Amino acid sequence: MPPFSFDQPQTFELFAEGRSWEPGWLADYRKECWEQFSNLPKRVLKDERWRFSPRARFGLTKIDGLANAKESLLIESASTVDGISFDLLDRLILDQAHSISLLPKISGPNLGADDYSLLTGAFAETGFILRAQASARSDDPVIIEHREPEAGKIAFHHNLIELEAHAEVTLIEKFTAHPRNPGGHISNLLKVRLGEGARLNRVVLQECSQSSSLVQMENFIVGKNANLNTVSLHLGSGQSRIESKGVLQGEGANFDYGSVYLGRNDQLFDQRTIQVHEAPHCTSNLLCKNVLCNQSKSIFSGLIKVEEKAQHTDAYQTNRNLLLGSEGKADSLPGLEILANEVKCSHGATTSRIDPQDLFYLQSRGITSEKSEKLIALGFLNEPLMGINDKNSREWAMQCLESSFAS
Amino acid sequence: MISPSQLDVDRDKGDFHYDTDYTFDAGIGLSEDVVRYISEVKKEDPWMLDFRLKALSTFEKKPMPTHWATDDLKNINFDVIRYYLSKGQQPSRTWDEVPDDIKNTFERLGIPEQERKFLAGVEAQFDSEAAYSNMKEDLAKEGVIFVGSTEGLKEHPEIFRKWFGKVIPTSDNKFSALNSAVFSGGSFIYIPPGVKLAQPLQAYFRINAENFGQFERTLIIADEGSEVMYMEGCTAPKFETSTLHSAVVELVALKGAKIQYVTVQNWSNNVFNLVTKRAIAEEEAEVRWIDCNIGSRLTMKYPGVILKGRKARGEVVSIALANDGQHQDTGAKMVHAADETTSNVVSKSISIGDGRSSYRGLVQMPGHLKGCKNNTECDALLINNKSQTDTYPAITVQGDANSVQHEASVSKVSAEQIFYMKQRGLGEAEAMSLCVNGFVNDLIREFPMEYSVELKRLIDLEMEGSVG
Repeated sequence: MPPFSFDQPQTFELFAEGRSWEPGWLADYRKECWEQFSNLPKRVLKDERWRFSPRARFGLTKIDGLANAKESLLIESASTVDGISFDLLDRLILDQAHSISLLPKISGPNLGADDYSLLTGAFAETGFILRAQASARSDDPVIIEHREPEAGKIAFHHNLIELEAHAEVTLIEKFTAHPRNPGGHISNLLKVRLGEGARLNRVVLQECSQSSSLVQMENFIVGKNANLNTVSLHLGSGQSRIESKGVLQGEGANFDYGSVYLGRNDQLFDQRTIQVHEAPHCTSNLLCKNVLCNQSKSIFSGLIKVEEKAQHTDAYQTNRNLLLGSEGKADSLPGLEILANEVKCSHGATTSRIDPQDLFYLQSRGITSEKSEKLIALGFLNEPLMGINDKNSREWAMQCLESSFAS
Repeated sequence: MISPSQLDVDRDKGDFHYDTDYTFDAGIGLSEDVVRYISEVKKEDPWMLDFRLKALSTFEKKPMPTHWATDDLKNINFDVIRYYLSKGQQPSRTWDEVPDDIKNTFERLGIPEQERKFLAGVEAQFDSEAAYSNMKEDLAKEGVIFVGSTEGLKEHPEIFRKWFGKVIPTSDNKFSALNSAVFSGGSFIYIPPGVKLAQPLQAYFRINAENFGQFERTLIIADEGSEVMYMEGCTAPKFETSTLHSAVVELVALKGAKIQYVTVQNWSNNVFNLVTKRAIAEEEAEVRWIDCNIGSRLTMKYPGVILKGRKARGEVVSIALANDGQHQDTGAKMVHAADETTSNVVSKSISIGDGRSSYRGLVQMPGHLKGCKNNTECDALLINNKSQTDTYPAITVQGDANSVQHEASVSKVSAEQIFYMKQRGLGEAEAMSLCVNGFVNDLIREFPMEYSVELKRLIDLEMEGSVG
């Protein structure tokens, strides 16, 4: 048998054969994704969507097989509330295929990682499906765990969140390291649709191993007067590509996005975001804070796009980078494309080190310089976490961040 | 992408009439023969011809930068352009053929009669011989060289050849390669050590000698401790029949020198204005680009400073105004290459009607440097609901010893401000004009006096008809 490769048509054929029991529409969708993937241009020399990114670090060639789906995604805490269902894709395909029928209809964020997005469509055997009926409301968070597969294997997760009108749910997503043989790959595609007045609070804690790769693709479609609050805390993974798209589709929608990256060793964080304002009277606020130690590197590329009819838009985008050490590197590409005139829009990007005066202040009170640096960095990174709506998850996220500094 | 405005000018009226003097005609389209011909007409040395031919092959090899720039670039047809027009081949046209709106603009800006004819393309030459020769004499006493590009390379190769094409290499981009192949016109300036020019040098006084080319090449070298301010362009609309302008401007500020480069340009709506401008600043030198872009179909211009010596300083101050059918794609590049270098970018843009203005920036600070600072501010004002503005900065910082800040905001003139002024008896258009002038006022002050007065009037003119 030839070695595993996404360049081989047999790779998909074998996979499809093994899943002949699936409904026809899903098989068609997989096939379509695979064909589109196969037709992607093999090498695009200058792709603006990958500007500054050492793309080779995300190479698909380093992968030698698919991970065991059952082990790579686990529900830690399901919902007990009527009208809210939280389940896994592989358990729904046979009996409740209608509940996942939305998956092919929503696109990915399409911010550059087309290959990963299409492969996820073709090969995902699992993924979480969170659905809430109109006005269903849960106070306790539902919790999912994405587990890094063993070295060389890739896990494809194809996830869906669909909240009907006025539903409210809190979701915690954990990405954990492989306990014995780290170095796996995760390709995670998330599609979210919020109905009128719905509210989603989402917290992501990513603690994959430093030898792992993560490609995270999120597409949030926010309906009329709906409210989306998502905050991600990225502490792990050797290289991660995070693509997030927020589409404000209905009037009065709100999109709050926060992210924290703590880079150590030679970690790479490649983040691409876009806030698309399609409807009037929407607000969006994006705050991305990075601390970079050692040789770690971050790329932030964000765009606010305000379409012609999206008058009375309030949109903000902020990227702040704190460099600790002389070898860290931060690239920042904050962008605006504004086609409406009745808007308040701004972006800001700063990159700097710790103010020596702040350091001196702490040291003069008997705190070692090492500890002072940690304290200041911790305070710096706390800001996006303060934006977490749900109080319990906010405290939990802060604790996670603090303990990561202790190590 | 912006479609060209149709209300511009009836091209048929201003049709070309060429003399039958074939010795000066390079013909239409671009080929090796055209390049050889230009070089021959200019009686250039063989190394210059080689330089041009190499540039031509680079131009042919380079792709259009449409992976990041607007697709409108694809509408340039390089085969219908006349790459070299020398004296006597200028389009001739009578004053009656000049469109009324252009005449009115001259009237309102208060352009002198003599200049109007030159600007409208009625006269190929603007008679400023007297002014130029007087100035030339004074400058020569100080050792300042202020000549055309052809003359500069021929008469002072020891000074200009050293820096020619060094700040902006031929292969920098497709249009710098095109310029390197076919350039003619532009200024070559050398300021000797310690000479501080009190009066700005104006390209304006020299253009009688050779008409402002489509492919100008300017090189300014300010030797140690010298100071110079150079001004090009003017606020009056230049009525142009050639649709592609691609200039290259190189500045060299040696230790402790100061260069200010002021540009005010107001092209007509059919012009692609694709300019490469860059400076090298040595130790403690200072380079300021002061730029105002009005008019043209598409302007792409990102003045840059390579901060090569310790404590060098770079600055870009820019105003862009995009009206119907126009796309102003401007910005700045700051490449920090030495310790304690500082740079500042202030960019303000106004979009009117369906005009589009974009800011593109680049700031680089490698990790081995200490104490570098950059500040970037971009503000955009949108006047109508079809106007568009974009901001695309790229910032790269390595190491913990440098700092960068970038801020951009987009706003419109608030209804409250307009209401306040209307209450006090101003018309809506007047009020709007006042607001826009207020928005750019702090930058306009950076321009020399006579420019800033004309600029204000020009903004008033552009604002007309945009309200209500």
